[in-house]
Amino acid sequence: MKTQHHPIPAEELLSALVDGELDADSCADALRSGQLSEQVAQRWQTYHLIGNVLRAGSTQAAATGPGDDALFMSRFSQRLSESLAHENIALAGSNLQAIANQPAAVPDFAVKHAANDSNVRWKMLAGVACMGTVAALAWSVSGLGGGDAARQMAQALAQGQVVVASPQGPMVRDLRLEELLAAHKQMGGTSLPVPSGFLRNANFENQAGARR
Amino acid sequence: MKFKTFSLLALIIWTQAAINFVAAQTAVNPSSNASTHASAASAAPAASGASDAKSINDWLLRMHESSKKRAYIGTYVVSSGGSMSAAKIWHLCEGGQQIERVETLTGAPRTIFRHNDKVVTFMPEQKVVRTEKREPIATFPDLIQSADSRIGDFYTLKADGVERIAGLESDVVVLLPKDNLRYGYRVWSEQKKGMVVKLQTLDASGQVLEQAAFSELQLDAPVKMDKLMQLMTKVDGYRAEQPALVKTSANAQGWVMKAPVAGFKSMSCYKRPAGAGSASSDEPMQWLFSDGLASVSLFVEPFDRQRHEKETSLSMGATQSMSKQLGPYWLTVMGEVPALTLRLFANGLERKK
Repeated sequence: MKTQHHPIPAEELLSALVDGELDADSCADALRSGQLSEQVAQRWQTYHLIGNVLRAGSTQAAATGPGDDALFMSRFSQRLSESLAHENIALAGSNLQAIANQPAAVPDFAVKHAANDSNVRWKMLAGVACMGTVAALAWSVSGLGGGDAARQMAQALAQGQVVVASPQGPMVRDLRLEELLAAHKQMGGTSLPVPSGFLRNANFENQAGARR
Repeated sequence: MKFKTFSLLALIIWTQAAINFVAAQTAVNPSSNASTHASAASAAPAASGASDAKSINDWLLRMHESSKKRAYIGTYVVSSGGSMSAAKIWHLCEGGQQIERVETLTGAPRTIFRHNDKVVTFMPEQKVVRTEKREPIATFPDLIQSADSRIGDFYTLKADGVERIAGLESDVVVLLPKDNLRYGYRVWSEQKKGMVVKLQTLDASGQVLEQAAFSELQLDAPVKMDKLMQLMTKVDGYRAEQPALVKTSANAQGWVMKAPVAGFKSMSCYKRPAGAGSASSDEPMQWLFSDGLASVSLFVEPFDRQRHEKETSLSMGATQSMSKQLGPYWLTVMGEVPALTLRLFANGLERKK
């Protein structure tokens, strides 16, 4: 693309430059032709500063930013962290006051490119969240969730009973029966030399033990 | 924009669903694996050396001695009645002294120490330490060496190949019942010394009712007797409990088994303290029977119209239980045997005239 044959407004040229759409020759031509004025160069600086803050946090941005922008940068990053802390990650409204003092293009840029836009984690999270919602709905619809067990447990403990697992699902059983079962396991159980006698009652021993 | 909040919420829901799903799979898998094993076992040809009573007894003795004498640290997993439990176990036998430490990894936190016949259970949530004397049915060598022990009359022993369990090459052996009054067992014992590393309880159709195995096992581990003893006696801040257990006899309690169940011998009889939830001060009696592998407990207590409202029978993995009224008494029979066996016990029990 021969940009020097088709002069384009400085802002568009800058945009193409930021987006990496200008090749080295076009970029050199543009600079030579004086299309990138000082004002545009400043804007270019600001774009990159904002990008650095969003991507790398304030430390790196401060290290790479020019001295003129240090105040803006610190105010901006403070505002940004405040807004993130309040889980309001969109750079809109009052949080943009610091940027609003800068050239007009800056707020536009910020509004269009929210903090999470360049962060792949949020995209992954969005995907996972959708899957999670579908899975949770499917789970509850299929009736496999354990909500009933928890409710039964709460009721059972009030009535001197315990909930134990069974092939048919959670079962409410008499606390007394559990005590007898524990007694049987302690004195009886299989004579084969395995240590399982200690473990079999672990699931309901909690309730039974608390009442002994 | 509350996208982040929503995302986090959805992520939490998704994670819970995923955990539930995995848990469900874990609970289901052992039994499906087990049924594969079971069908493979029934298809396997009978191994050489069809067993007689002596070979069963020799094999059981070797297994017991080895399981007792090895020093090991392992993680033991039990799958029973749709639930799974796991514990970490430290075991040591030194100069005729046996000590074992069991730390539960599922359910209520428990640390159980067993020093010979003394069992000390720490319950950190209740800050209670319970000391009990464990008197197993009989020490096993005595049980199978006694003249009237006839495990071989009721079970057959069959080799069933070799499998690797917890990283150890293990011989697989099936103990099949000769009648329908008991369950079968498939036993994996590691090849070097014969320690049991996995056990399945099988019903008449070969389905697995319960299984237990080491998922990880370090044999000849550096377990220290004095260190375990030290931990066992560290009861500061715990309330000590010592449940009473009075040895008695069924005869002295006025009970008789008028129709004995084939293969089952009376082993012992105790009076146990009544449960805290019980209004009655009458202690239940526990009468224990064993056929050498499986055991049955008969609990007899006074009938209480409020608590004993209906006759029930329950199945909990390999353990079955049934309750019924016997005149002014309430009988609960439970054991690792089919329900039919429990009914025979219940019908055979009679009040002495």
